[in-house]
Amino acid sequence: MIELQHLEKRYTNPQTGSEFYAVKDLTLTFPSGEITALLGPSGCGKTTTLRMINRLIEPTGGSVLIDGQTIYSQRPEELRRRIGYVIQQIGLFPHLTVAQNIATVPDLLGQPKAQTKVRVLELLDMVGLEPERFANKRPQELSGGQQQRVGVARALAADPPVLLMDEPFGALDPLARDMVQDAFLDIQRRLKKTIVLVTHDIDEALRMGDHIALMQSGELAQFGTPDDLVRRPTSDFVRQFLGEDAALRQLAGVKVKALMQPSDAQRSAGLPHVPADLNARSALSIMLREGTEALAVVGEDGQVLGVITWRALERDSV
Amino acid sequence: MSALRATSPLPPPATPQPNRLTLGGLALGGDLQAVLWLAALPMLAASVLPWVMLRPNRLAPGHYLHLPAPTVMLGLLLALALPLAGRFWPRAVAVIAALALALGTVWLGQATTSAVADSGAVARASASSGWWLWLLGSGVALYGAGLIAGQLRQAQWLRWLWLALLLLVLAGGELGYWPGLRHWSVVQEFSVHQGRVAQELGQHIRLVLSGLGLAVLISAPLAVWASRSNQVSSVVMSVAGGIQTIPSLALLGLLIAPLAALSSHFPALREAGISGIGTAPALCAMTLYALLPIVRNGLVALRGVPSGVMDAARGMGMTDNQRFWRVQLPLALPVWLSGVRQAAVMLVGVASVAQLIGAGGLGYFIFSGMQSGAADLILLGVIPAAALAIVLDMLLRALETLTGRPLGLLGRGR
Repeated sequence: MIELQHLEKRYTNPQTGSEFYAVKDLTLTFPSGEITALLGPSGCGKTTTLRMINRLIEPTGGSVLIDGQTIYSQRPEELRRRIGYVIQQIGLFPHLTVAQNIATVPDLLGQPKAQTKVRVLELLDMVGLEPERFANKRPQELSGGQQQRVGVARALAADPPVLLMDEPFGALDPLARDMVQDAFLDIQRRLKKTIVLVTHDIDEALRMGDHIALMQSGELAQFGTPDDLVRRPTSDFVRQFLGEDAALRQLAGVKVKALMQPSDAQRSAGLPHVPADLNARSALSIMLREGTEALAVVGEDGQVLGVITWRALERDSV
Repeated sequence: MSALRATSPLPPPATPQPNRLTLGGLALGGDLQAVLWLAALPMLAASVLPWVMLRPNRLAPGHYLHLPAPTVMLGLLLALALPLAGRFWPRAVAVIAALALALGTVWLGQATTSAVADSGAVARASASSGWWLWLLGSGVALYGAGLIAGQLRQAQWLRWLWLALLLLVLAGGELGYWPGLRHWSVVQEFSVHQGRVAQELGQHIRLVLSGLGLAVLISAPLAVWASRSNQVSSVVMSVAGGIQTIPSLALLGLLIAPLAALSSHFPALREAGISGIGTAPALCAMTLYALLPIVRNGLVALRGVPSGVMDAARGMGMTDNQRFWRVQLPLALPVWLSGVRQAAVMLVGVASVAQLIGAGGLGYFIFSGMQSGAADLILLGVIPAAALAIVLDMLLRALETLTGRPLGLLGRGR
């Protein structure tokens, strides 16, 4: 659990003496074991907030607690070695191999080499890169998506309870982004890290976040589940920022197999077929096009797995 | 080169484009043909120009001698063969270029020997415009052959054929199969001054390496300091740039007075060998000159490390020292080393002037040659200095490649 208490970052212009708040009186709790998306337009202070959690930026007021402990009682380097950190430009070290990159923090912590070596191979496997093939490659030999997977593996190397991610998937093309996001959600389901994910991408926040903290001009606009923000926005800013099609965007992050109900042959007879890994937004679009309130969900072998209904799409967002 | 690479891997059959030659699926561009013509033209001129200037003694005025007519014909043919080979059989270019260099050497040896044979014992036969142009043409031809070898990706041994042939020819001269170059005036000067050449070359190398070493020791912390602050970097860069604008001769002169004053005030310094003239001011000047390229490249290299990489290093818990030694320095080193290389090559030149304030070095031959009007003596200084610059350049380049290899594209993008 990460608690921000009245966190504030104020910059003073040395020429004019005027003050500017990048973050102002921000009180917020990131729940343990969940992903909280820190969402907002550029310049809203979300990256500044993130960087105050691992003390890359020191606040001018307020404080941060991790699991009830203040983060200011130890040296910043010690703190950072216990917090995973993934950034947009990936920041892999080009002069080191993939394995050496992943081993960075365990090496800084002085963990035994043999143990780290095993850990590196384990992590590569976990992020979906064949260990034998990738361990000794250089980062520049990898595609953007592969690099970002290595970035995630590197952040997880010392098994930190907390992971800070600054637009981690921003530099990827949409296809690679979908794949890396899926892979990452898979990993998170197993590891249950406390994750703060900075993003300006509403779709990413709706899809990845168990909670979303929407920021505006250094202040918190709304904190809640994706449903809360989509269905119960607390201000016009929240509504406008998410847009009128926020509900559709939310559906886009869900696969039909997650919402389908078991069905028998009789019930699915005559319904249009859709594949199980179609996203729910597309399923809705097909319903509108076909003028039906239900679709048959089929597996790769053509076998009917279940039925997805209009009511289920509606209820998902409740 | 780039135009060659850009050609399509599958050229249209039977319709070769103008200025392009298709050879087993490989196209050689018109720019390569231009290089070969740039080699052939000086060689054509060289064949008909005088190759030897014969003087009754070392300092007397002399008269020009040409190559014998059959040799002139052979020279013209060899020159024309270059662009022709480039057109129809590119691989032969390396052979022709190597032959041109080796034959030119033989011709110089024969011409000087026959010239001296007809005159007295103190007569000097120096190489004239014909030989120098021939040398230039052969050099350009070898460069063209290197380009072709790079394109063909086969028969790489052809790249070094010239060296093998040249060594063979020189060895043949030593063993007495042909007269050799021993009557060429530069070789004669060399045999007179052999010991001195070794001594001054040694001094030259000492000057360059100590100047370079001192400059690296001073520049490295300066560059690191400057890379962290804009104010520091602007001061450091303008001082280093300012030094660079002072002519080397003037800087040597300017250093005499303060160093002389220092050594007269502090006897300890005088005993350590520091005075207004000699090695101390030369080393000072060379160190000052080398500062700019090393500091400038260091600054560019250290600041050029991607900010994302530096941020990640910090975010992962590296201390400032760890971040510098483990991330910033390894990534900056190849670019930084290229600044050291530039400085090294420049210092070989500056060290030649150091003779003027009594620091010795190969400048000794250059200046005594200039004073006595003996061009051969000048060459005795110039040739080793040029060779030294080339060797230093090659060694430091190899070091750059070595440090840059792990960086892949990063290291080569210069």
